[in-house]
Amino acid sequence: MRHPVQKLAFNRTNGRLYLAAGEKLQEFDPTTGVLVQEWSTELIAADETKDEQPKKKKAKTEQAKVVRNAFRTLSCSEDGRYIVGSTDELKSLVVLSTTDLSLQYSRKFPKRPSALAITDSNETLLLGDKFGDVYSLPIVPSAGSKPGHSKLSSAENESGYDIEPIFGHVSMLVDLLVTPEVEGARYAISSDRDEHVRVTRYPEACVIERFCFGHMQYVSQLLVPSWAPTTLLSGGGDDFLARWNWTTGELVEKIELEAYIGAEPSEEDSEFEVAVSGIWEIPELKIVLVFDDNSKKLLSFKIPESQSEPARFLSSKKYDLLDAAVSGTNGEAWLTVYNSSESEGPEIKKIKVDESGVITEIEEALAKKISETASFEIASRADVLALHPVSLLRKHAEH
Amino acid sequence: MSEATAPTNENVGGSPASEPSATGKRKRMDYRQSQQARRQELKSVVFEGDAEEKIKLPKKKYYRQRAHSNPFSDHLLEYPKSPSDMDWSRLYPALIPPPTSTEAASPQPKVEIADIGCGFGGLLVSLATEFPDKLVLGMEIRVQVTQYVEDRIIALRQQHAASEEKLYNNIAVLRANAMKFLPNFFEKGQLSKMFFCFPDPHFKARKHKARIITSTLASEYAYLLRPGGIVYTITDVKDLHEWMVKHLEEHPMFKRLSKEWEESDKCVQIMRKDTEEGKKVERNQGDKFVACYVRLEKPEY
Ligand SMILES: C[S@@+](CC[C@H](N)C(=O)[O-])C[C@H]1O[C@@H](n2cnc3c(N)ncnc32)[C@H](O)[C@@H]1O
Repeated sequence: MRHPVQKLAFNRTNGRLYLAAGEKLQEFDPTTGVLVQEWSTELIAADETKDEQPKKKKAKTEQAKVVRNAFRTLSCSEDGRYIVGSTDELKSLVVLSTTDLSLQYSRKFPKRPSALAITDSNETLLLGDKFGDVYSLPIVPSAGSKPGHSKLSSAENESGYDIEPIFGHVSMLVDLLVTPEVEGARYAISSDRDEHVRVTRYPEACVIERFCFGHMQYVSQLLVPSWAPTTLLSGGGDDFLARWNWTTGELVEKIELEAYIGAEPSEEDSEFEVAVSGIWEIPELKIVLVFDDNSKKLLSFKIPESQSEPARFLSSKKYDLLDAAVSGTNGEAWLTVYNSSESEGPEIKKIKVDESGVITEIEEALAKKISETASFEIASRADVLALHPVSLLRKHAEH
Repeated sequence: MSEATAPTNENVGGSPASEPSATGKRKRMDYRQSQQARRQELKSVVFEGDAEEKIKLPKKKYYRQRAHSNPFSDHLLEYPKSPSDMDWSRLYPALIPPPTSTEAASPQPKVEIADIGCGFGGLLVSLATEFPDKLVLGMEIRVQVTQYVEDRIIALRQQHAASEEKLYNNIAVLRANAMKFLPNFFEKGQLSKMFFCFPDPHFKARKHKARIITSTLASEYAYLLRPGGIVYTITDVKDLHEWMVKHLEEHPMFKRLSKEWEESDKCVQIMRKDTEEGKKVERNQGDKFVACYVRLEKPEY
């Protein structure tokens, strides 16, 4: 069978759509539905296992698990030149050129990369890991160092890294962004598996500017809308979306989600829980899409530029959404959803959000063609990745 | 909790070998239960100085607990959502009115000195009289050690309730994971002194991330300290000393204070002499390595 598509990215420069299904990355021309080119993490995995010491303990789990090194994050640099992803088991970062999907470089980390941001006019990657540390790397290593898969150099320190973190939380880093310039300064905003949202000066990352206090659960999604550069939206395990003025730390508005998600009557006895797994902006409409992975509702909200005006809920639609990529024109976006039919294969949809936030599916034939072409073959259903990792972030106290 | 215990680092009083373990355990439990009831009753009481029965300080041997606690694990710890959500009147009842009272509207004193990983509280007790007009807070991750310090402070407050100065009302202890949640308790620039006395050494390289001073945590300490505020460190483990020096030295927000400064500073003397670990090292005639850093106004590269 074919593995579902777990991640999407859209390149606004060349208009191409990138799909990550299992270990495979495929580039589509979304105007024709034609597969243009593809790449697989097998290419670095092969490299890696060649000279790896056989580890007895690991052997058993590896046998059972075929999809070893799937993409867990995928983004496209704003200038459209690079596709950047991080992978599961090899804990690697990969940077591919969008011209020919050639590997610029990949790098293995001792701790799984869990958050990624591209900054400095597409020159720098910030990478947060499972232990809460954030590293800064050039998107392409400087001239002289050869491309290809690099393992850690011999200069690595005790923790297994050859570079020092620029800042860190003592909790799994879950999301990360760099703000636009505000009064001549930029900031990194980071969130973790506790409930911290932190504003750090960037690149002077030794100066923590403030915390945005108010969350009680993990914070999995951060967004600074491009039309409201001092606003921050954040969501995760809390039953509200937080709207902040991140330049002061003020919680401007708590956008309660329960009313829009609505616990199903049949599930009355189950506790109301939220797991926000995505926030995407549609700049031309000043609308954001928010996905709650528990209720499987994709919600649209109007976020006014002015913080004195409240956010407005617009509409909702049910999808078993795995990821979305906004294409940057006319309120259009691509979705990958979980296909619960017998085949369980990839299912891609194209939607259009109108001014009033209503979501409608469009170009169904084209989307179907892409769904049918997208392919990463797996032996059986058992090989499908855990596709809903967000709610696992909820903490269960140990003691 | 997965951290291995370090039997050599038995920093709890009493001699475990001399007690048959089953009855010893029962005794400790009984003792702790009665202290627990007492603590609940006395925690936020302002003592009026009429305590007639002889007040006893708590006994350390009843508060035995493994030496290490994993700072990465999700302990069921209580912490405020933000510093403004913290009710300090419960910790300093004689000095801070409860938030519901009318006096609470006027500005209240704030904690200025923090002892991170305070252990059994020796430093706190000395700081109480050294800085009678400042609020001092000890933070400790181990439950029973925290309870011991709580009982110790309650007893000291009671013992001095009749005296004129009403000492020890300005110190308190809190169970917290200081590596994760300090910014939930203190505002930016609230602290003037932070003590790191004989922190857990975490010898294995793989565990170095668990050390309480790292470059990334130093940024957090810089955030909590006001410009001119001081980080005090002391340890008997040379490797840990060098580690702390390296990470603070490299940090653009900190600058090391001179040996002369160390000699003239009374807190340095207190931290050498009055911490439980300091005393232990003294008895074993071990080395003590001190390094203190001032928090700069702006980063200096
Ligand atoms: C070796 S003892 C030193 C105690 C005391 N400062 C002294 O000098 O006597 C270190 C203490 O730090 C505590 N500790 C370790 N990690 C901590 C954390 N993350 N937050 C609070 N306390 C911690 C330990 O439980 C232990 O009591």
